[in-house]
Amino acid sequence: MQYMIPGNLILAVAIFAIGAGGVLWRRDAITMFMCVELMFNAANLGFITLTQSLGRPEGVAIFLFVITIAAAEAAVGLALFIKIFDDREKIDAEDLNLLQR
Amino acid sequence: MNLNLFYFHVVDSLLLTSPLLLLMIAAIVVLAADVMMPRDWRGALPWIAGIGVAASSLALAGTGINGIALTLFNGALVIDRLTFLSDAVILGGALYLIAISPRWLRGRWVPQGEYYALLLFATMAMMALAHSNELLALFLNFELLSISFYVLLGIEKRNPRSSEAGFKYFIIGSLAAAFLLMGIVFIFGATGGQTRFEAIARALDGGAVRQPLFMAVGLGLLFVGFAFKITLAPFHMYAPDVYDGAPTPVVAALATGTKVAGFTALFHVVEMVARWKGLPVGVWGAFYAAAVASMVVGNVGAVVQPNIKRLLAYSSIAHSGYMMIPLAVVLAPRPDLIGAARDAVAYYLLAYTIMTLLAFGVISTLAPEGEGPIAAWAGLGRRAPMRAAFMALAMLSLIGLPPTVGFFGKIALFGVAIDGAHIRLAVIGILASVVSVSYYLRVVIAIYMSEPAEGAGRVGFPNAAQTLALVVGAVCVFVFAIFPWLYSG
Repeated sequence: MQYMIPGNLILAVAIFAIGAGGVLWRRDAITMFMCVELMFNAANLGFITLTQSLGRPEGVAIFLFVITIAAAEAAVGLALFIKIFDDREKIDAEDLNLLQR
Repeated sequence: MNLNLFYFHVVDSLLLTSPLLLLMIAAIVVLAADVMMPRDWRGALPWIAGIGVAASSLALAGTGINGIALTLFNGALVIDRLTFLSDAVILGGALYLIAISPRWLRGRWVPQGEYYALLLFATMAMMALAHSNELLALFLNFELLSISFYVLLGIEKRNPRSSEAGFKYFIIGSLAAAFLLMGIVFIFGATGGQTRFEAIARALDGGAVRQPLFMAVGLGLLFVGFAFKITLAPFHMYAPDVYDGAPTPVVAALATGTKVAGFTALFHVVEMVARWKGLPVGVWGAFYAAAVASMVVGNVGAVVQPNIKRLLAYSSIAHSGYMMIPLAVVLAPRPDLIGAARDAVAYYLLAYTIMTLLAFGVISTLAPEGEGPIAAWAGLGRRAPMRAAFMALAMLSLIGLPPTVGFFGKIALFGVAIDGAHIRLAVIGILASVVSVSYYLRVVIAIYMSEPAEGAGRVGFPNAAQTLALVVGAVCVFVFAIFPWLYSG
């Protein structure tokens, strides 16, 4: 039997690539973080697709855990952003250069 | 599995993970005590944390060491020789850092309860990551460790450098987690929905993997996630900045514990694929390239660093490169060398942890003057002879001079490369060590052969706990070199 690659998996990889590109090229902290979330959700899409095409339920379980972890990470990340925002007007990765001197 | 057996399995699993559970309980007790105790009893917090780590160590000793690998919680976690040794190293490091921390924290804007609680959570996460034996458990423990460190690195209030270090680690850490997760998607798909490492290894052996390319891509992405975590070149860019800005004891935990846990987990992944006949050569190439690149980038980058913490960041990149040598050899493929590689990596993790913790311990006691440029260390040999000697000892051990742990660790690592007929890797490692002499000796020269700057008086004394920790660390540099069987049994 020819093994078909589900179309959604290709979509997931494309979204993952867009997210990775965004983290590398965008310099605004919030946008960078959004791109990381995009990468997480691309992986989630992959799990859901595989659950359907392989007929194994573990994918959905992993998906639920990932959603929870991503929420915890977002909470900590946004708290860090607010802490930085207290020190300066905007959160731009270009301006975060205290440590290179 | 029938219900009765399942019940015993869960009880067994809970008993065998009691070192982790005790750390979690201690962390919660610290948090509760911080809120409920009167303010001037804050000094008890490190004691509570220390007792928690000590109890966890006793529980670990109780679980004992044997050659048999046990899987817990239906295969989510594993206990074997390697995890026992890395647990011991992680707990020892945690106790050392709890002894170093109170004096360092004095006069700084750091919330005490959260600091010790998060240190315990991070320690627990390190141990859990080392035990991971299943893809989901791997991801969860990876993230538990990352999230603890996002907060710990940026915990110092009114210090924009600490916030910046936390921010940089946050972006890089979540990027690493995303790569790891995407790798898991590919492996999950390629093996037809397997998540446990043994099941994946069986699927690979039995030829059940329909898309070897998918498996290879998955392993590659997984490796990128790990590479960020254990600072392998070319995913190391964040390390110098993060090490420079963050609180020194936290950096010490990041530089040692994270690597012990990350390398142990990565070793389990390597064990999983080592016997796969169809292992694409690209996976081996990635490990080989990361080993060489880290040794080169780490050692060359450190040569020009004027700042002690940045220097140690590059040094940690270089040492990760050395530790990749046995993994690259095993994937060459030489699955017969896996036992030797395990022993070499376990011993080097211990050696690296001892000498790096000793160096960061001395830096912590010299804070804040000693945390910046190496020039500030000039003439330390006369101003603080004991700590100067300890720092010099750490530097000589990091170079790998006998009779220190660093020397025997490197012998073990390069020995695996020679046994596996990868002489080139061993030669690169030795040349990289020769380059490393230049920058480690720069610190020693500053300590003993430079005149102190005008107006540099006596530096502050370390307190009793710090002195004890440093002495124990310095003794360990020799003890585990002369009696390696104390560690590996």
